[in-house]
Amino acid sequence: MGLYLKSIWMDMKCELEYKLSFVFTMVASALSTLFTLLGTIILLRKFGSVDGWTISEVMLVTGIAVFGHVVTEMFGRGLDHFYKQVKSGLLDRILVRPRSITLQVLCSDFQASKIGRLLEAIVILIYGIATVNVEWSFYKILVLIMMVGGSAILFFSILLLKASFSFWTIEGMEFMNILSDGGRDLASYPISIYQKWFANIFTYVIPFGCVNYFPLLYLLGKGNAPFWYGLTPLVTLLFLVISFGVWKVGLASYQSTGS
Amino acid sequence: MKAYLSFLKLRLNVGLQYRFAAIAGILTQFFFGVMYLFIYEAYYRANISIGMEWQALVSYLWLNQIFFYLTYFNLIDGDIYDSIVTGQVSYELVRPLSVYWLWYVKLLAKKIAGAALRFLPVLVVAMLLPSKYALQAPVSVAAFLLFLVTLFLGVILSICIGMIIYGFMFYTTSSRGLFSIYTAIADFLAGGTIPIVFMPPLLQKICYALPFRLTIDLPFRLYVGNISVEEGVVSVVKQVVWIAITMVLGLVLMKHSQKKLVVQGG
Repeated sequence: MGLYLKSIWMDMKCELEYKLSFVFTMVASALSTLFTLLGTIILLRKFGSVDGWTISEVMLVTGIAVFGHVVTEMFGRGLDHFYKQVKSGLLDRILVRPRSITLQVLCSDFQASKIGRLLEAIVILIYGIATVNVEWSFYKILVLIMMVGGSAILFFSILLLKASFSFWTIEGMEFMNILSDGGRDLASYPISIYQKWFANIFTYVIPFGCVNYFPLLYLLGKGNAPFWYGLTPLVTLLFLVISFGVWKVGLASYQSTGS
Repeated sequence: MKAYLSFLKLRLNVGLQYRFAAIAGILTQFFFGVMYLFIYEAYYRANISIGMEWQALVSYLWLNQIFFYLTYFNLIDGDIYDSIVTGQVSYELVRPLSVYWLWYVKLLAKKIAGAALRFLPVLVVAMLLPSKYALQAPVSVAAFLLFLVTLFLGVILSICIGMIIYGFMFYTTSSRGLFSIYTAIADFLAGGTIPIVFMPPLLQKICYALPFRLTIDLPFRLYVGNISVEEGVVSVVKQVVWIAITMVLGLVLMKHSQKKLVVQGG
């Protein structure tokens, strides 16, 4: 852990060396999220609501999705670009070091410039929490924390899967961005607004619905949602375990490519 | 002229090599197309009449995905960017060809090759979907012809604007984020995030005053009949004027920056 923090600190110092570049990159990443958000707000104000969900509810869900996504982008960038390390043979250098491989991959890149987007996510979250119609109790606060945490775990697992696939193929890795970047946009609305088959995939295969739909129903007390709906974000832990398993299998079967 | 044409051909061939990236791109476009359709479907369930009919919106969304590679404002080219950062650009500067046109052709070729590899599969699938979600035929032959003309001129215009940004890149060593900032703003003001007809009046006015919408909003809304043919003809003139302005600006900027250019290192 100490090693990881030190690595993050070094990465940050690196990035901050180029001050103007840092500011530009930070503004850029914040702007693209801001405009997507602006689009959603314009549509919600024009139509009043979407499939029965109010603007506060959608903002809460968007905040959870953007927060989970940006946190993994900041800390898991090394996984995102892992296929490049496989391609170049750089992974061999990591393998011979006497430290945890997963830790070293995570240490390889920390993105401080995403801080603008992180602040945005927090602002949206706070707005959603403050305006949404919920009678808060201790358990409900816990559910909310699990939703936010579950979102981060889910996006992290997706990145881990993406990295794992590069043990078998390094072509067309952009496809996995559908799940990470696409997942963020998709999970910015409660999963129930989509067509049934589409919503089912993103509930039972990739459990976005367990982070932003079932627990939300419980928080809002919609449709007599039972108590255990609030616990569904825990499913993301199972998804994480599976992804980690795939990652380990991939590592074990790795044969060097570079020279 | 001949030199630029053969350069265009060369870069087209290079661009057509990236087939796996293209397949991934097609899947991505298709996924986003379906996702946006479902999101808007949920909005439209409210049955509130707004600037665009459902079928027109469906076609607009599909066209946006089909021609994404052509109309998207992200013009970062790894080669050009690296050449500026590493100083390789000096080799291009000593050649008896204009760097402006060399890069212009390079960007154009990249867009055409990338779009050529991607557009057909998404187009075919979008037409074969159940009619509620399918891309419809254009409203008229005249509208379709104008769609083609404005789409082409729109791409020319977006590269002209992109070249101005490249001109600025000579002045600063920290240009990494510059293009991304421009892309985010331009895409929104062009109607790439949400159609401009959905925006509040003030924002619409801003969009109409700027050139960005001539790349996405104009051709796609012509196709679906949301903009009349007469207005389309006027807009073609607008496109030509904007192209002239931005091209001159880009050329002047590039010339000016090259005079002051200091290549570092040896």
